Amino acid sequence: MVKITYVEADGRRYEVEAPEGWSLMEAAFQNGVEGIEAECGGACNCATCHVYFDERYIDKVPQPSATEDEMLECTAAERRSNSRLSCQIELTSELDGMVINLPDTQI
Amino acid sequence: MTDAGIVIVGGGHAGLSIAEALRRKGYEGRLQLLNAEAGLPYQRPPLSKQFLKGEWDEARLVQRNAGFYTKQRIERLSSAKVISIDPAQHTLSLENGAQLHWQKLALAMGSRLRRLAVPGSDARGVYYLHSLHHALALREAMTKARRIVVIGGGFIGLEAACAFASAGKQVTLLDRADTLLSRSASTPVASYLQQLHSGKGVQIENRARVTEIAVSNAEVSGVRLDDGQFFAADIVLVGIGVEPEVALAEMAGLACSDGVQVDAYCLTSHPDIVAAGDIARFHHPLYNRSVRLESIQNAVEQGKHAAGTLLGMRDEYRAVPWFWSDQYDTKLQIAGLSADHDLEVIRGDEHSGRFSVFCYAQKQLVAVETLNAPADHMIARRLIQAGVSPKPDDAANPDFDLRSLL
Ligand SMILES: Cc1cc2nc3c(=O)[nH]c(=O)nc-3n(C[C@H](O)[C@H](O)[C@H](O)COP(=O)(O)OP(=O)(O)OC[C@H]3O[C@@H](n4cnc5c(N)ncnc54)[C@H](O)[C@@H]3O)c2cc1C
Ligand code: FES
Repeated sequence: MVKITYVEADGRRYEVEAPEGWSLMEAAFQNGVEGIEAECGGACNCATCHVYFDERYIDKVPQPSATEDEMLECTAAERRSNSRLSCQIELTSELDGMVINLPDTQI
Repeated sequence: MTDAGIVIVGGGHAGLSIAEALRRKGYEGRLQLLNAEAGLPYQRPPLSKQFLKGEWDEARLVQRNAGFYTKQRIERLSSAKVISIDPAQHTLSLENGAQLHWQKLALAMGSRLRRLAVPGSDARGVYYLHSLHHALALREAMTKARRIVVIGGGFIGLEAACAFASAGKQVTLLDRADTLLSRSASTPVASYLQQLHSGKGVQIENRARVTEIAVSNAEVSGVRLDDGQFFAADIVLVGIGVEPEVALAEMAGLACSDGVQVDAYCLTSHPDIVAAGDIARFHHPLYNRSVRLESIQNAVEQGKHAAGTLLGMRDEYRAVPWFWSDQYDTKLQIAGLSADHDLEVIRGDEHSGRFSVFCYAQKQLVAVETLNAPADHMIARRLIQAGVSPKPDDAANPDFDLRSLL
């Protein structure tokens, strides 16, 4: 299991545990984290699962694919250097302890 | 019955969206979510994609975990099939004999499968794909099958064909129309997908009229067409569309016509009953015609509007419809509704596997279908929502920045 903390734009925190192999979006969604909409359920089609990734862990995940990169250009909140689509990030044991910040809007 | 509160019938994508939106919009009262299926509400799109391919397990399909419902005080009743609704009394009955009261009701029963009606179609080995229950049975059956015939070249048929071909099965796809996806995609997209599937070994028969499912020892042995052609099969998957699940609403006397009729705020012909998702038919303000949509986008977003209406808010539903389908490494995305268009403009190279088709009706951009071009899709949604139509020459020019129009 991988432990992740999600922090909503208004400061609310969720401590979540999810199995390796799931996506960072699924871990949030199943546990009711509100700041992720994930309208397309993880198909990299909606850009409503945008997160600001933990800078300390950014080397431990692969770079965005071309599709993700294009979709990141279309997020509702501003794109930053650590912006990712959470449905495209697979949880691994290396990511244990991450803190993920959520944007103030997804739509 | 003071604490009857709000009852939602149907725990699919729309039903869950209504429940969540009610709480987010501040509803504090009693909230019951009734679902005919067992278990927690789950996602349907992966059933014909990751789940059928064996990449995902059942646990991963679940939308929200059980703790979520407790925290949100959503009383979730599973295996709870509603068999009648009495709008005058504000009650409904469940199959198990129970009766419930409601102050306000939301209908989100989705759609039901259209069944194949030819001789032999109820033989063992004929499968459908609409629910988790179907997907489990099909996934099990396909492991033992060598030759699979798919009837129907819509999204379900094509996605399943992809899963079958990827698993090394010998796949034949029979479609009655001239082109694949005839209800929902333009010719360039349909021809590209036809080539894509053929390249993966799927044998596609267009204009195929199925007249019989051949049966031997009560098991499927093949499929026969009206021109006499015969395709041997160990199993057959039928994907010929769905119909709105309107029987309950019709019995209850609500206005229905290929769907439960709702107004711009998702209200049915009864002032305390809303409807959303596959079941709802409404007048789309962007297209100025009556539509019924079968998509996640519609279920989720219309659900939010229906929730607002239950709480006395009036927020017109006018979102641009969008849809996607994943087949092999190809991502098809559709923004808008393309029926009745009179001009198709292609952006990008039609043979490269990365292009978009801009569909216009009377000079107005009505839909954009993209293949592996997600940025075009996202921009298209915004253009259509804003009512902005790029000049066809600009749309066709990949160097023209469409964003500059927004
Ligand atoms: C295999 C498959 C793949 C799909 N892929 C995509 C895709 O990639 N992209 C996309 O946008 N859309 C896709 N769709 C379509 C999308 O899933 C539907 O449009 C969406 O689920 C509609 O939501 P809904 O809530 O209206 O209906 P549903 O999700 O079908 O939910 C209706 C629920 O109501 C319950 N119900 C029915 N009658 C009763 C009753 N009398 N009492 C109690 N409960 C009842 C049903 O059991 C069901 O659980 C797919 C559909 C399928 C089947
Ligand atoms: S969930 Fe839709 S893009 Fe991630």
